[in-house]
Amino acid sequence: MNTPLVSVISFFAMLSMLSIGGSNSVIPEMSRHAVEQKHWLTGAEFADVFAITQATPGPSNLIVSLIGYKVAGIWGAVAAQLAMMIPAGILMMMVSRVWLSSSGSAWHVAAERGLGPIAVGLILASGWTIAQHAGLSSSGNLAAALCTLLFWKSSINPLPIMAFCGLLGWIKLI
Amino acid sequence: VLLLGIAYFGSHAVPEIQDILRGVTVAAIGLAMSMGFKTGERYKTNFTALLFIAAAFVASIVLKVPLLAVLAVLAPLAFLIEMRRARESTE
Repeated sequence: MNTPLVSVISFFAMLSMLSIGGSNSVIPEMSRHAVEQKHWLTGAEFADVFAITQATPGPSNLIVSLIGYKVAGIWGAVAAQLAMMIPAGILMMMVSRVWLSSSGSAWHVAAERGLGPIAVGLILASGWTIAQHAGLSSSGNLAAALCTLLFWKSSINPLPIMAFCGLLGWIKLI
Repeated sequence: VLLLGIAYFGSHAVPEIQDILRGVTVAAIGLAMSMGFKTGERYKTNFTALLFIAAAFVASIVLKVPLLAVLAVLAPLAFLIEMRRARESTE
């Protein structure tokens, strides 16, 4: 019995069911479990793999694969990604039928309005979690705040900005 | 992405890679936070919604409550409040 693999699968399958607002809202829980409880990776590594998955094309929940890889190699990566996708996928299929047919009904609207703000709080908590792990200098924190404002107030493509910030990191400005 | 990740775990002791990744992380933090603000903007005049945003944030970050518990408490509460509000507005 491969225990790391089993614990990767069971954790991400559970997380999958809780990912309201997408995988970006489960980052605090992922960090709590993978970094603080299981010590699968360090906080700095967690921040780094988050950055890698944000800066590259493809779904942002690929962070799950990278954590799985760190724990149990290539099979860990595959298992983690499947565990993150399948339960949520099945749940979606079961719910979406009822959901689409109930569009406009009172409970449908209430569920949407009620869950929206919670998802927003969790997404903000995700950004915060990464910032905590990254251990930034004050110039780094300032740059993160500026990037937040920039991406919030404009619809600029984030990739060139990420590359630019990578450059700033390289020359040790942030 | 996976190949990059594998390369990362094999090479992340290299200081230059650390520096570059730290920079990219800064922008990635900005991206995540901006997503929250962009979506959250529509709630800026809705006091109840702001309260739930704050509650979800504080519970996860300050109190470090497991996500399952956060959702188990906040989601039904938010749902009931919205149901009541909808009923009141139709009466």
